[in-house]
Amino acid sequence: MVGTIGSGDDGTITIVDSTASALSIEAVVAESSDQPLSASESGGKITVTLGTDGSGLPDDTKNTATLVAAAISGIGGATWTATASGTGATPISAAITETALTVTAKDALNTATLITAAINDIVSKTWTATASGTGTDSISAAIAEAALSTYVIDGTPCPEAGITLYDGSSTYYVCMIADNTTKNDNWYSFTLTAL
Amino acid sequence: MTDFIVRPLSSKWFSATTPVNYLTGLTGTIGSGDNGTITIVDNTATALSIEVVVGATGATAL
Repeated sequence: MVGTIGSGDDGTITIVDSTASALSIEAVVAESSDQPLSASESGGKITVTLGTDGSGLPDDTKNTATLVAAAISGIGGATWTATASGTGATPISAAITETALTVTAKDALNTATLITAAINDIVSKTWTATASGTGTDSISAAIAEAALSTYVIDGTPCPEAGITLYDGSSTYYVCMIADNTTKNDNWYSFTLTAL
Repeated sequence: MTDFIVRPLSSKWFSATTPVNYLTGLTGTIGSGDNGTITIVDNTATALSIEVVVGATGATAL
């Protein structure tokens, strides 16, 4: 899951969690003056409590993106990490309403090889899926539904049943039924083996 | 009964390397790149489509 709070090149904090099934984050302003920045988590909600100045207002020096990210990452038992963008110098200067982290694809779990295996494992399948090359690249985002398209491989015409072609090694190609068109699908092969 | 006439492959009358059978079916790809393209082939279905969605919740298995 991933989510962000703050904004800008030096003030965006990105929170990433690879294990949680639901997580949200909010920022509130400490309810009294001269409070330090802090962060906690309860019930799947991360709450950042912004530090305040002597007037009880958010204190930008206490709430830079770098400090907020450190506070979030430092929550005991955290399964997430938070990272500030750029210099991290831009502060979170106001409360932020609760926002759910969104689910993202995790590349290591979605390689072409693994997806291919999953497609081929579908019960009663009539198709075959094949990954190209090493199959190590991943599909990391949703793909809109697309219909498979029709393909045609022309057959080799065969003017006479029984024609047998020998390739000089051990394989023979036999045309069992005459069909002198490209729709011919009557070719068979066999390989000689020693008695 | 069929009489079999054996000829060398070099006397073939077609351009392919060896004889091939007529085949029709459905095919499509998802992903991209030399190591990330998945090709799906089905020689029996008359209609088939594919899509990829992201699990609705976190920590969802493929």
